[in-house]
Amino acid sequence: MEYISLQTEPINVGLEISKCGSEADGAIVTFIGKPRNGSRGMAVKYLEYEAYQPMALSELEKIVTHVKRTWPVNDCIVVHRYGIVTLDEPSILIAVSSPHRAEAFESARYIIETIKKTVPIWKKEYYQDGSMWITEHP
Amino acid sequence: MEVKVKLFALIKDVCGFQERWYTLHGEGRLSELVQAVIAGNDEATAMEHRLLYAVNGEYASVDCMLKEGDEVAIFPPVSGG
Repeated sequence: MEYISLQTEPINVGLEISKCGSEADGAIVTFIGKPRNGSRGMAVKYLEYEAYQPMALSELEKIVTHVKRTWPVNDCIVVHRYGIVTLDEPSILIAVSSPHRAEAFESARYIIETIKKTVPIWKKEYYQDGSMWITEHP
Repeated sequence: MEVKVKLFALIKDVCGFQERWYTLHGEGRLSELVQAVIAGNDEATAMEHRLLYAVNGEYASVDCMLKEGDEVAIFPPVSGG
């Protein structure tokens, strides 16, 4: 099963993870990314993610296709927020299931690292008095 | 030849628009369009070496040739996740 979503709604972490994995799987690896406060020495009020939607979806599909061709992964879920995201909300959820843990860890890592390089989504931090686009690769 | 330009994130703010049609009179390379978009804008010109390009939703080189009606996206390095 593959599930990719770009959404403004909060991510229902428990529900999404519950969809991942089957009897054939011995491992489900999840990654949750969330906004970090004060990374540039300024208090962040909230973030805004902008996405070039059709291309962001097609790049996410390429990543998931590559994962399924490269590792024996059964289920692959990627949910990314866009629009306003507050500090207590996840901005991204990745869940991968596979028969053995090594492939699940490796593919989940590949997904998040590749998203940060190729998927056209940008984040802007909002502070008490201003805002800034974040463009560095973390 | 007319092409649609979409800007995202910082380059959108620096240029002051999100979407605009451009008419190209030269041979129709993406580089010609980029120069038309950033012409006379010092802040945009300073960002040029970091910009990424996509034509009709696929990453493209600045040397590629455009076609009538192409949708060209210009954006800084991505920062999702």
